[in-house]
Amino acid sequence: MTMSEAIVAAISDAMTEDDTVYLMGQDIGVFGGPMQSAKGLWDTFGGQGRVIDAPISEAAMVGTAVGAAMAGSRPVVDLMFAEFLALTMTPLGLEGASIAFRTRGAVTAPLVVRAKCGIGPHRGHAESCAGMLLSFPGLKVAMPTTPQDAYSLTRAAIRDDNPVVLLEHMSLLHGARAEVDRTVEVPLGAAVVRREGADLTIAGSGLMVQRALRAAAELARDGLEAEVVDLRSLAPLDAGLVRRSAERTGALLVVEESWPGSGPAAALCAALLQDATVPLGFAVRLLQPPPTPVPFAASLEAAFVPSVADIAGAARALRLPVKGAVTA
Amino acid sequence: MTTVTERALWEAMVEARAFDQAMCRHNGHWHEARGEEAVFVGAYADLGPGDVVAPHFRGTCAVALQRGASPDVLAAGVFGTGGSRSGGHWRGDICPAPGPRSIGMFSGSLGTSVAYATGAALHLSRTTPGAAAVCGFGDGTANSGIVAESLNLAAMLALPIVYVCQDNQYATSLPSAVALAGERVSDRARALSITAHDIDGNDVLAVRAAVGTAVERARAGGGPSFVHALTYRMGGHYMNDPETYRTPEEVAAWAERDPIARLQEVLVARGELDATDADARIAQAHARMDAVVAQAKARGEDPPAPPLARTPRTRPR
Repeated sequence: MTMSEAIVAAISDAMTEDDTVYLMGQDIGVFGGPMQSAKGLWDTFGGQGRVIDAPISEAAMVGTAVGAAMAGSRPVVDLMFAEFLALTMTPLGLEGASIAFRTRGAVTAPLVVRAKCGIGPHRGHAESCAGMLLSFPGLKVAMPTTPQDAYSLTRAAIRDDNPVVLLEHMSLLHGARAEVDRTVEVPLGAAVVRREGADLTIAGSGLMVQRALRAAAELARDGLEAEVVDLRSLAPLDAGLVRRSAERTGALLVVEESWPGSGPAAALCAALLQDATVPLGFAVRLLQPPPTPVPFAASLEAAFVPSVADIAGAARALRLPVKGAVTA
Repeated sequence: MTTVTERALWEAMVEARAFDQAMCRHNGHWHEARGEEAVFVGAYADLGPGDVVAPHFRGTCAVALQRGASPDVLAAGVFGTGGSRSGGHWRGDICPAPGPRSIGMFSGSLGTSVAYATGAALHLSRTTPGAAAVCGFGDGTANSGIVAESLNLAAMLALPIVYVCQDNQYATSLPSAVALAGERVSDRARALSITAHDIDGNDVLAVRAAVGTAVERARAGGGPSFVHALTYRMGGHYMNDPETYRTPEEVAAWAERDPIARLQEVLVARGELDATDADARIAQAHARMDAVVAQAKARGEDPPAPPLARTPRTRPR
């Protein structure tokens, strides 16, 4: 399966198992979803009123999902693109994510918002708005990079009793195919090491994981072994795994595609520093886009997002191997 | 379906005002609902426990009282002290009884609860044929974008919901006559082909009848309705409102249309209520609620209950 097919399979399986799961979004009916995000679901569930074509009403799509979730449904909203998330922040971030706290768990809002983001073949709609999402306590954010994680994280998101945003990277959705084991569970909030290495740690999410792996292969030819950590969940953020890896390798490069002011990189740094009563014990460098809107021209877009070469360069600068060094 | 007598409607309005006025005396942050009782008492009187209520924040405690909540717990919630349902984690004045069939506000933003009620109606339409949602909001909230989006979605999906605009004619200080372009707020619903009624919101029997008809339509699969109930906020937006935006003459004119006195006159004329008894009952209700609220306020230094570990959730279908 591709990542996109894995997400659709996860939703289909969840809908088959639990009739309180429904899907609402724009063009998800006979059209099959933007970029095939709901392919085949209409044929199975459309007649049951469980695949609902919505008008252009992002706030109401999410707002009704919050209400339906409080009443007993487990809605999934296909928001098309993450740049539309800004229209939904009151019901999703400010209120929906607060309900369990406000009611001490007596009422919860189990809903999932799917949103495509990142640079890719689609051109445009690249903004992930990840930093904005991380600002709201209680709001969970997952970003898969493999078909297996796409399936397992989608299932975990639908099972979760609180709002979860599933960020789907457009460069990865229709990329490499892989076998998907439908019994594998991946919890929200658990990062994973995609490549082991002893010389430095590169942490990122989405497309940056793929690019970090390619940079790591390049670095290995120079004798620099990079460990690559796929964050998988941006909230909760598995800072513990990143810290342990960086303590082992002695250096941490955080690579991000979203804006630098706030976001996973900033959240990761804050988590690493908040109880740093002793020196961290490893060097840290951030590689992020500049604080501008995502530019449209291909050349400007390429300059905006860290490339494989950028990642490799930053890694070398962080930890240059000393060839032929003699230790006593 | 109707089980509540007209006498009980009068009693519910008296109780609502007694709680409200006790809060006015003891809580400087309270949003007074005096004068608007006919709308929120009439709109929710005949609903069952399986129906969803999403009242306007002005009067929401009265709806909780009507549905069996204890005034002590409500008052503790308003002050955020021990005994509060939320353990002090949220405001009991705008979200007194949150639950799968009782929707409240989860921030100070207006309009989102209209979307939540619409979503609850979507859930009911899929799982509980015959159940309905009733959703209240003010004339000010009617201008919020999410309300328009929600009404459109409800019409498109023929959801079992009744929208009740509790038009007290002011959004804090801005008169609805200024804020609402067009003749009537209900015309916005008509533009979406939603059946709409304009009624006297100070006549509890008219509110009950209009909402009742709309609820029956919703239960039968007839889709959403809109009830525009024109009423008046006798107090300020909140307790320290200087009220520079309206005249004493305007307020006095609306005092003549007090919803409790109106129903009382009808019941007395019919011989269903004795005028002297009525006055005594009103005095009793005010004394009782004043004691409840004063006691809740006196517990101001009590720590709220500690956060609960995960509470098992009841998930009605």
